[in-house]
Amino acid sequence: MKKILQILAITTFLTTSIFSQNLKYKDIFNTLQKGDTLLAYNMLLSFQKTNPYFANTYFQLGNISYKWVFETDPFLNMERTEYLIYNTKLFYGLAIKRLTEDKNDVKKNRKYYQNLPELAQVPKLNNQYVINFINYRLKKINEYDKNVHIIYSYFYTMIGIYNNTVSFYRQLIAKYPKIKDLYLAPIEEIKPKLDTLKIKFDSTLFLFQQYKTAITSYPIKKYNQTLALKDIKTYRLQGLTYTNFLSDTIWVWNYEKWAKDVIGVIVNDITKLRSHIDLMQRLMNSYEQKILKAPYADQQQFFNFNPKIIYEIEKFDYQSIMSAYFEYRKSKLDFLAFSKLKFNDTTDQNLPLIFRAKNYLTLYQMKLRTDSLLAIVQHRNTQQNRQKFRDFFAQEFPQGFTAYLTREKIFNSKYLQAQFEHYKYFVFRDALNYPFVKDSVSYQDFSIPLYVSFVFPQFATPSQIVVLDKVKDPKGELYLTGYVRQENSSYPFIARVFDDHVLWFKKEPVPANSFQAYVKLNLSTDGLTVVKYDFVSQQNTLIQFDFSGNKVFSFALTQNKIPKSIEYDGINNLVAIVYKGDDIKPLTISSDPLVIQLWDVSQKQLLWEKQVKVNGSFVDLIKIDTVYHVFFNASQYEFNGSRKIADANIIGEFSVGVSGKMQKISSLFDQPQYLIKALKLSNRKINLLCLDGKRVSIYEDKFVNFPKLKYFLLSKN
Amino acid sequence: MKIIYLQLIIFFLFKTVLAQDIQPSPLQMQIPQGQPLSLSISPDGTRLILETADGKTHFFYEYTRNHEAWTHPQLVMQNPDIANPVYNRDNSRIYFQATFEKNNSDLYYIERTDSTWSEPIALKTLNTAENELSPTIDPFDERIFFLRQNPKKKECGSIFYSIKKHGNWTVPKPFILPGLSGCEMTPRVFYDGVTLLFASKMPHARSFDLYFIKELTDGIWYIPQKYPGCNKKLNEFSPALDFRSNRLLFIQSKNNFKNAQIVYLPIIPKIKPNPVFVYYGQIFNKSDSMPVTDAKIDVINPITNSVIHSYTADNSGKYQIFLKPNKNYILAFHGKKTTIFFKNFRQQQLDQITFEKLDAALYKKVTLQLNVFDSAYFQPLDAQIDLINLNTGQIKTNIEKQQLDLGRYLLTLPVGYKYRLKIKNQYYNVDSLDFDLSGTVIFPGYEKDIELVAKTKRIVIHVVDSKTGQGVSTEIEIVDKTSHRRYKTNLRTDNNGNVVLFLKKGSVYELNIKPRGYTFFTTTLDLESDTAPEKIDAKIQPLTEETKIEFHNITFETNSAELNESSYKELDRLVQLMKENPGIIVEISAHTDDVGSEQYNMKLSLRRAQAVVNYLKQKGIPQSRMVAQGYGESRPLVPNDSPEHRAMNRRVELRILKINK
Repeated sequence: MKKILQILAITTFLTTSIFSQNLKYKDIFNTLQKGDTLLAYNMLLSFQKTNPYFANTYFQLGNISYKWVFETDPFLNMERTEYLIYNTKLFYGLAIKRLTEDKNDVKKNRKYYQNLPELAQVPKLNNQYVINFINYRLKKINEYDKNVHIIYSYFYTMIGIYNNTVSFYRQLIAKYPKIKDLYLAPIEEIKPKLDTLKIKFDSTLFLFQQYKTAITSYPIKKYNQTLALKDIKTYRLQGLTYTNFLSDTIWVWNYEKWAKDVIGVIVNDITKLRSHIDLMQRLMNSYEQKILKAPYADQQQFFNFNPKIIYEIEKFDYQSIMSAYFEYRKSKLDFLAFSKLKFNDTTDQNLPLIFRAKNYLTLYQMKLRTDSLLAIVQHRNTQQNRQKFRDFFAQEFPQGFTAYLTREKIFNSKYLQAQFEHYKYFVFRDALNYPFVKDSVSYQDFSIPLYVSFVFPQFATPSQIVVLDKVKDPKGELYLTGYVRQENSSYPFIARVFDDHVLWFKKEPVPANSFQAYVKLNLSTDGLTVVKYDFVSQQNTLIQFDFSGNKVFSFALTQNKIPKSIEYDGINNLVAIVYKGDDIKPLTISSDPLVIQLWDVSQKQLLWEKQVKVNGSFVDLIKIDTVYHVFFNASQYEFNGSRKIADANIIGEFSVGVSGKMQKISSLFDQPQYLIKALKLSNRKINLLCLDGKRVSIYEDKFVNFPKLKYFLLSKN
Repeated sequence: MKIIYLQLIIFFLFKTVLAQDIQPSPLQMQIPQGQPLSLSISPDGTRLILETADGKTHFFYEYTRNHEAWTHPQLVMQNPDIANPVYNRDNSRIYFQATFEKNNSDLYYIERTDSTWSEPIALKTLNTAENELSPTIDPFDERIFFLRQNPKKKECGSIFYSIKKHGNWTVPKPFILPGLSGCEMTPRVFYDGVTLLFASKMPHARSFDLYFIKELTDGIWYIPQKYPGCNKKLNEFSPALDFRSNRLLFIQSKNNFKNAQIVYLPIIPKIKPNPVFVYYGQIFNKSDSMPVTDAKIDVINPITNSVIHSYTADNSGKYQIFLKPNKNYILAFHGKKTTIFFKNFRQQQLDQITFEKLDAALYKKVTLQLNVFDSAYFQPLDAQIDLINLNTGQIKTNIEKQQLDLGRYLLTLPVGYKYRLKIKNQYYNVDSLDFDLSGTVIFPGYEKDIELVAKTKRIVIHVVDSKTGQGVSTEIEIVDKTSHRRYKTNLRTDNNGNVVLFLKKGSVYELNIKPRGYTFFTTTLDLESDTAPEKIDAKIQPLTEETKIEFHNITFETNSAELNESSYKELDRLVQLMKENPGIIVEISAHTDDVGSEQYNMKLSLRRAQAVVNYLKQKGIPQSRMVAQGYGESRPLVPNDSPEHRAMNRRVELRILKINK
């Protein structure tokens, strides 16, 4: 700009103009005297083009420029100030030059020099006096020039830095909708920014002090501002605006305090939180490795999770991915630890199946809870949420957190399925009498098998003892029923075995050519209820034994089919018996009707009998409160004219009240399943255990070849 | 001295060059009708407006630039009384003179609407009884120049100017400068606002010639100079700067203004306007991408934080503003009650006019996400939100809000008001949030955590030994059953057996007291209703021989000894009691009502007692510590005379037989 002005100023002397030829200096001076300074200035500029050697032109131009310099607010118009300072120096310089050249100029034109108050009263004003006066003013203007630039430099730099700080602050917070998000930003990213903000603000304060010192020692236009700090209280709504640096009180946002407060939270609370998170993660990882390798035990040490960390996290990150993650991990670790309890140990022979079943229910529920917590983590798994714990996720999940969650979901499902394979093993071993181990126990000259084999007496070899049913009591004592094959007959037996010792063995003599067996056994607190079946006459007899093997009572039953299930109710003296077909094997398909009878054993009287046409197999009989529930597999069934036919296997259920009232019959699933066991877990829940897909021959096939276990819960209210 | 000589040589060379006759070239452009009378080019150089006359009718044609040519003339206006059209900074207005009132020429403008132009609007503060002619406005909207007609020479006048202050034109002042003849025509201020060209007829001149002046600093102008190439015999007037083609367009005619034609000369460096910076673009509403129709662009002085200029965008949100590049500015884009978009403009050295596109996205409404949760448990809460507009006083109770998730609400609030939000949940103290959107609002989205503090009820728990009446100092466990995390708190009673609890209203608590050597005490505190007691006397029995505890929550299936699922919790407490007091040997007995035979009830109760014992055994309590006993209907607590009494009599009891130390 200076260069342009220089060129313009110099060109002023060189350019001749027709327009200024008519200007008379007297008129210009009069204009000046009248106070129209701007017009006079323009006129003087024009006049000096045609009269370049007239000293007073420059003197007046210098005077006006000098006056305007001090009238102009340099903070508002520095460009004009500089221009006028330059012109003052230029025109005063030229005035001195002309006055030096013409020693009598002042004397000749004295009236033109005495328009200033300082010179008005000077008697015999001469060139030297005017030159001295000009030099005095030049000294003043040089002083001003020097000081105004120093002051302006501090002032302008301060404003630039402060306004830049405002913009910087706005950019800094733009990414974080709330201040807590900012607290949780990666420290290596946010800390330098906060430090920069502080430094910028500090610089503002420093420059203000410099400015104050400078302007105090050289006052300009009575400026005497003070700086006042405003606290940023409302995040994102305050600290965003600029300020007026020319007002008496300059209100500036206190970014330094804000940054310090934020850094304080980050350095103290967040750093602590992050270290707690890291510690918790390490502990969880270590526990998980340990528990996966842990042997089965009656009790397991569950992971000691301090819920305080959830408070710590949520305090800063409401509905955090991190709290969800830890809650998920804790649940998973509990799930894993629970799976290491004895109930899941396939080498254990003693725990009753119902105890295991209830624990598998708990395990299943723990898995469900773990799944739901994992779903929460997945729901919160956003880039924005992860960013708050960026380093943690980067370090702990180098292959990505999303991939980790997917792997976890698969792992947990597979893990549960693996545990349910244990359950399947227990169901086959303890409920379906699948002969995994063919142990036997010696008694007198016999060897009594401790496993069940479904061999009809007619097809057994002489002297062969065949166990058709067995039950273990909670003390581990085993009760066995079946038959002993003789040459031309078979007689039924019942035995009690404990620890390879036969405690007692009771048999019932039979006539020749008679093939009889105790085919079904029920253990209750009253004793042992068995059904004897005569394979020749097809007669069934219900017999009650005490725990010493003594008969308590017996009476003939009316059905000639082989019983599949008996349910003894000692309190009400009732026995419910289910029949289905002629086979001794469980789950055998038959087109014979499914029959349930309820007997009053005290009266030896049949209370009622219900028959349902079922083309399929009986599975289980369960009593809840006053209702018997019968579960079966079928390709079709029919009752009271209502028929259901399916291409694949149907799992059906019908319910009969103790009074004999048929309550309902229905199929349970749309998808083909094959029910192998129904277990009563409580008065509200029945556990249905199925094999995936179609029916299998469970006694002919190898266990490893069976399909996966499918686990269902049936609610009963 | 050498420098001065050198400059003199350059000067005379320059004068020599200027003295040579530079002939203006005629401009080829289609003129639909009439003779050209005046023309003007928009400050951004994209449009040209031409005034022609055909007989008495004057026409304004608008042309668009096609490279160096001006094409597609569109008729803007036709009227016998209009003349001298010029554009404003963003070509949204055309200023002109018109003699709509008889014998009085005034200044007017028309505004561009979607497809046409508005009716003429008078510049009232500038118009007087004298004739105002030939306006020209700088692109900063700071200063307007025009002519007041010379009474003697009707074709020309004196230049006047007015400065805009606080959005209004001040009283015009004469533009007095040595070298002006007082017979000027068609002043045109160029895009830098300090370069003024005009036609002037000097006292002894035969025709109008073009002159130019430049403002050196506020009010100080460099003397007028004649534009080289003007013909002394012909009139030259209506200069138009076509900087994109580096041409100065103007009209040349005989000195009687006949045979007018549009001609051009190259732009000489001296009149080249100072560089300016031009921002242009659109201001739109981010939420619907529609233009902000009332958008403004404030140019703010960064020193005083005061608005230097406030420009308005057109109806389609489009704007174009000119900035002097040697200063810093803060630009604030906003509408009426919208967010603000700030842009800092830093001073820069430019060689030429520079254009930059800058679109601004504004929001008339901002979103406020409230995360409402329990201050202690961080449990999300269902909340009612009342909204008070503190500016209008309007109160909206239970406002509709978008629920993102339980406890997460998204509110959409118009900008420009102060709000107070009251967040309510019947079981929590009302929280209030002042949300001021009346000031500078920049961000479109906000999020606030609202941690509601639960209303609490003071409940005194007094744990007392039922035999001695003495208070018992013990731990008590309080489980908040309504919390999704089932928070547990453990507190201790003082030596007098007292503890004061402040429990959350609306929650259901389970209170468990299990002091060693005593029976346990469990109760549910339902604080959803106001009827919860203020004091609970927890009478606990010392575990001594013959101490009896009744369990009414251990139930069985009908006529059966099968435990119901609902009994497990109570049974687990019993397990806990047995584990915490390993020295006690107990009788577990079951009791029936009087329905059924005595014998049957005896059998049933014994089986049930046995079932309880079996459960405890399964949980690890040795059989040796328990005896199962069935008492049938023989020991009723109350007469069996009502269903309620029968239910009371159906129970399981624990009786301590012996305590092994």
